[in-house]
Amino acid sequence: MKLLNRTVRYYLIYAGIALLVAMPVLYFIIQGIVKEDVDESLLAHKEQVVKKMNQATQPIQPDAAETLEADLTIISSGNPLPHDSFYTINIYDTVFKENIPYRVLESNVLIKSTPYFLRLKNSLLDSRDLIETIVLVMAVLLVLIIAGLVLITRAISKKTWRPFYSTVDKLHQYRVDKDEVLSFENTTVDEFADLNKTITALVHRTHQAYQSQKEFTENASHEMQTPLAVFQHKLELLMQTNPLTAEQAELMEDLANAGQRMNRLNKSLLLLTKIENSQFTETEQVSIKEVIEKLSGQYKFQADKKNIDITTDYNAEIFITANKSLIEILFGNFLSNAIRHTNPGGQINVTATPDKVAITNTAEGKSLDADRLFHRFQKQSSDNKSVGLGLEIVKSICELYGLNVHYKYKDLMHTFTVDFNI
Amino acid sequence: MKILIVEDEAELSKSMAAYLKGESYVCEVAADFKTTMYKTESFDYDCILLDISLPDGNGLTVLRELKANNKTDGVIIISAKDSIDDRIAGLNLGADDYLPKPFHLSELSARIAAVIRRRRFDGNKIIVLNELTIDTIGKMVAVHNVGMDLTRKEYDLLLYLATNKNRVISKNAIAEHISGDEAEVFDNFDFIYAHIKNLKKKLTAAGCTDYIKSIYGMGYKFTV
Repeated sequence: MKLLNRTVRYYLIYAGIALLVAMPVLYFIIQGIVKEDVDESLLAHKEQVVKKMNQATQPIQPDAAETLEADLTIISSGNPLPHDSFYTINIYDTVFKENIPYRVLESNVLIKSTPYFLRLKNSLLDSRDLIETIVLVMAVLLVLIIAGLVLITRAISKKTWRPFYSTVDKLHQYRVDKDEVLSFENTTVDEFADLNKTITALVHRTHQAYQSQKEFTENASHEMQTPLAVFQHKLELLMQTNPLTAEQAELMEDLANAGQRMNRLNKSLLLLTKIENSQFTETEQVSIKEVIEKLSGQYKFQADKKNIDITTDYNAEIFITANKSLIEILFGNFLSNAIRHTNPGGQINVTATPDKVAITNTAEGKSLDADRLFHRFQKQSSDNKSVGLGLEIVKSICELYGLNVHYKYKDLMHTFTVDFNI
Repeated sequence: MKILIVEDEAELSKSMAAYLKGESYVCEVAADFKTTMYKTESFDYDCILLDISLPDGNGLTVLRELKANNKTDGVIIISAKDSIDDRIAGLNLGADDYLPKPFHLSELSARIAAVIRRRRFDGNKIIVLNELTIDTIGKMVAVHNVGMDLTRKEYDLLLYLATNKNRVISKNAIAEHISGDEAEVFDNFDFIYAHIKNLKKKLTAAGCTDYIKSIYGMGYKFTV
């Protein structure tokens, strides 16, 4: 979840709870105030009625009171004790055809020493409407305030966090193997400035470490060449010595093969460093079809020996602007791997569609570990002829030209696909 | 024939000289730029094996000087840096060949023989080994003056063996020579075996002595 949303989410939860609590409380408080008010006016009204009746010269006709005032009832009563009581009642109104709430005051009064029962009522309809309107207006206002706050907070946060997102974006695009300088935009926020400073230092150190590791590989492989050459030359001279026994010859052959393997390993490492250093600058339009035809011609002997059938299916002619030897190495590695790992009598298919080339071969057992496949020295077979750098070289070449390479295992077939969607 | 080995690594020049001496070449060694300049100015060589990176200078400068003085010495650049740029620069400056380190001594010997054959004007372009004749210009082989049909690979193989005659050539060296880059990918020993077998069969059928001997499976030797 985004930081921005997280902050706003808590605001919203708080505002929702506050609204839910505040609205009923507000409603009941206003209602209480209105009730008190009505009660006071009912009492005042009662005093007035009592006063008027005391001053009246004619005796009261209690039943006539209702004709004078609709809300007033006066009845002669046997109870002389003065007493007031309030209550609320709903009375059905025939005009509005609904129940209308009334506040009622019932009291016993003494008028000219005669006890009377007096009932006064006051409609609450107007005040109910008033309360509802007040609460509604308040609610709308509150919602508006909260929405405004949320929007303003979002806008401010967005602006405040912009340098942060810009930094993240820059880091996302950063590649340690590229010689680019990482520069962040200036920010007035101390925390972000600090973050940028720390990241710049970290990136610098990482790049240095990467660089020195790369240089080490490069230098080591170069330095290795001379002793390798000496080893090979001395062995060749040793082969010329006389007399030569079968036992010596066998030892020499083993040494020669070991030397050859060291040689290959060294050459592969040098090739990798060269690719990573972008030292293959010469490019041309390379026809993938031509490359594959050439390679399958080259490997025909090995394929025939294992009785492997190589079929090609070109649905499209793919051209790529690249270094021709690198493209040959790329597909050469796929094809030679396929030939090496396919069972005798197996099948290798090369399929080209407008945007990709797939190399499929029949497999012996299970799927290869796709995560480890393209890493250095991750041999997933016991074949001691391979040095374990083939697919790493493939990966480097693909990265150089922005190609995607995938591995898939399905129905006892290994498939390597190169995506030319560039 | 005189050969100058320009190489700062003593062990390498020593073994190159030792191998080439067996081919009746006279070898001199120069380990630095100054000695090289002195020797190339003072003497003529049939072939100069030139290391590009010398402790006190660049081998390409030697090459430039040779060409500026219209010297006709053959030059093979031997370099630890197998970069296309170096190769192109060397060949553009007039080098005859370019051999990246590490190389097989038998390969070096074959390249030197090829350079000398191309450079010299006398009739050395035809190799005669008893009844066997190899015409290196027409790329033709004849036994008892009767021409025979060889594939391109068989011809290369025969020439390679013949230029290293009486030497044991390792299978790895042969594999690299006849299959080039492919040898990087596969151990082409079966491939070599198949070609040698065919070559021997053809030569024997043409009435040629069986000169090509397997040495305990370690390599082959053209024994004359």
